[in-house]
Amino acid sequence: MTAITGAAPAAARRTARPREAAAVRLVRWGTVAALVAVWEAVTRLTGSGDYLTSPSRIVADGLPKVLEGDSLTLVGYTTYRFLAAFAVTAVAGPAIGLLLGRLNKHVYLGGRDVVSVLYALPMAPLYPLFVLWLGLGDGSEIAFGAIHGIIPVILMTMTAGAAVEPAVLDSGRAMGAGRLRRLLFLVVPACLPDIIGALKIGAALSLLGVLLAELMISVDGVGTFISTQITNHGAAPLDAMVLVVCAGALAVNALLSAIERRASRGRPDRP
Amino acid sequence: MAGQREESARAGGVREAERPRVAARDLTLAYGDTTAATDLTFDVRPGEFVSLIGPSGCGKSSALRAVGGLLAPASGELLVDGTPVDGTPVDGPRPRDVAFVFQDLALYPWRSAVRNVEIALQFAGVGRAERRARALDALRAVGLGDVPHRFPHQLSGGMRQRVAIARALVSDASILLLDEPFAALDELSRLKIGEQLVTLLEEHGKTVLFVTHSLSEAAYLSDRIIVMTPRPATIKEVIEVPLPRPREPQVLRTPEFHALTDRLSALLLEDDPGDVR
Ligand SMILES: Nc1ncnc2c1ncn2[C@@H]1O[C@H](COP(=O)(O)OP(=O)(O)OP(=O)(O)O)[C@@H](O)[C@H]1O
Ligand SMILES: [Mg+2]
Repeated sequence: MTAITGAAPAAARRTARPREAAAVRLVRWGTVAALVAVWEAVTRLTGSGDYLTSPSRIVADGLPKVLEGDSLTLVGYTTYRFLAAFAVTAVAGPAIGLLLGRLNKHVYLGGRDVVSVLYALPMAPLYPLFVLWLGLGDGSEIAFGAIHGIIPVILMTMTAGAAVEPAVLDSGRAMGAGRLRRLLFLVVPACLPDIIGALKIGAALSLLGVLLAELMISVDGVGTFISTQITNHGAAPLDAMVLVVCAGALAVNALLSAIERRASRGRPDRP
Repeated sequence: MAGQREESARAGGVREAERPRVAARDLTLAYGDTTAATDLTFDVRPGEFVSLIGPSGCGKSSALRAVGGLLAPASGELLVDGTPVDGTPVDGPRPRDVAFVFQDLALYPWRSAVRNVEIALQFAGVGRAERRARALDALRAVGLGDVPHRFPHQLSGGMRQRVAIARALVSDASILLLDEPFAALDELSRLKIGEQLVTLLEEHGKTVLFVTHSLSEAAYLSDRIIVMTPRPATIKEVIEVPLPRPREPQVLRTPEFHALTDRLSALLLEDDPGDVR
């Protein structure tokens, strides 16, 4: 997953020369523009469906419905839940991951098996349990988002933690650094690019978790808006809301990519 | 000051009362079931420059790691300044008066050269302004004063080695453990830089335990040379270097120097199984 998300910016950065960079930009945005144009043409020729309509109608009819007061409140609820779920993911994920990765070999190998299995499990059927435990509303939705985000983050950061070169830690010991200082000054910075890379995936998945929860059993939020529009065949507002969610997810990803680049300074081997 | 090491080396036998900085007695080093070295008995006296030479894999790095407190002796006794070293990591600032340059340097790729040097002082609890100033001084001392903010991957192999040396120098530790610090350099540069390093170390009164594969480097820089056998290694012979200090490059062409390197290669060849590929 990292490889996929990491590939595009890496390729773009390798072409550092201005002309090549311009060419890359042209291809990138040209493709987007072409897809939108094809979409517009096809939906106009065949007519809008119940769920999919043309980009121009999404912008003209749908977007205003999403950006009006009530719907915006729903976006606000979801944003709040996502931020809370991601905060848990971003703080507890790397902390647990590095702990499991560095404590000792048995904890790492055994823990990795457990977390890998958890990662492979579908969480959706468990959501009713979350509702039973935490009640309907923010608590269960945030928890469901956090559980989606935190498991891959733990998995990826524990692997990164275990892979820190022994020489790096030995040199710290030779300089008199105790366990805690080695963790803070050596393990964390050595793993930082991997941690941020993991958080990109954690962010996408904790948003997914929150939306899933809202779609399944919920009374408000973006998920509820979407399921209402599906019931009402409100193609334009439905598509507009999907676009807004995508834009939000892309913005978070771009922010984390920028942080990842900073954290990778001095490491030409990193994306 | 330059003559001080020569004097202490020559007078080593006379000043018996002076406690060795490093004293190993019947030391055995092992990784689990793998014995790396046995029956190591040697001293490093104050201000001395001692080299360890021997075939690859014989346990030279392991010996250094033991002295540096990173590898617990399996048996025998190892004293640094009279205190037993047992390999348990000591937490807190500067456990012992020892600094390390590792064979693979162990520079931190995410830190610039100056911050790589600084971290030794950070671990020792030195304040921000002071450690920056001292790190820059140390970089200048190894000839890298002009590139403090480059990252390791932006430096040549030889420059990286000098950053690692600066990191060992900055901590004020008076015993330096140098594991093939010039491996990335050509023969002539390593001798030149080695001589500069010896002068620098003399000025600071450092005691050095040095690992190298280059016989001429060992002969040119050392007061004494410990020759080891193949694994499981033990000490074959300890040779006093009869060359006066300060040493100039001309010494490389003297009969004494050649006699010494011949003797070293003869010692190493005696144990060579001859099937190394
Ligand atoms: N971490 C380790 N675990 C197990 N065995 C090890 C470890 N480090 C070294 N050894 C073994 O101990 C022996 C001595 O290794 P050491 O690194 O001390 O040799 P060396 O003399 O420094 O060799 P070189 O000249 O190639 O650097 C080798 O046989 C090696 O295989
Ligand atoms: Mg070695």
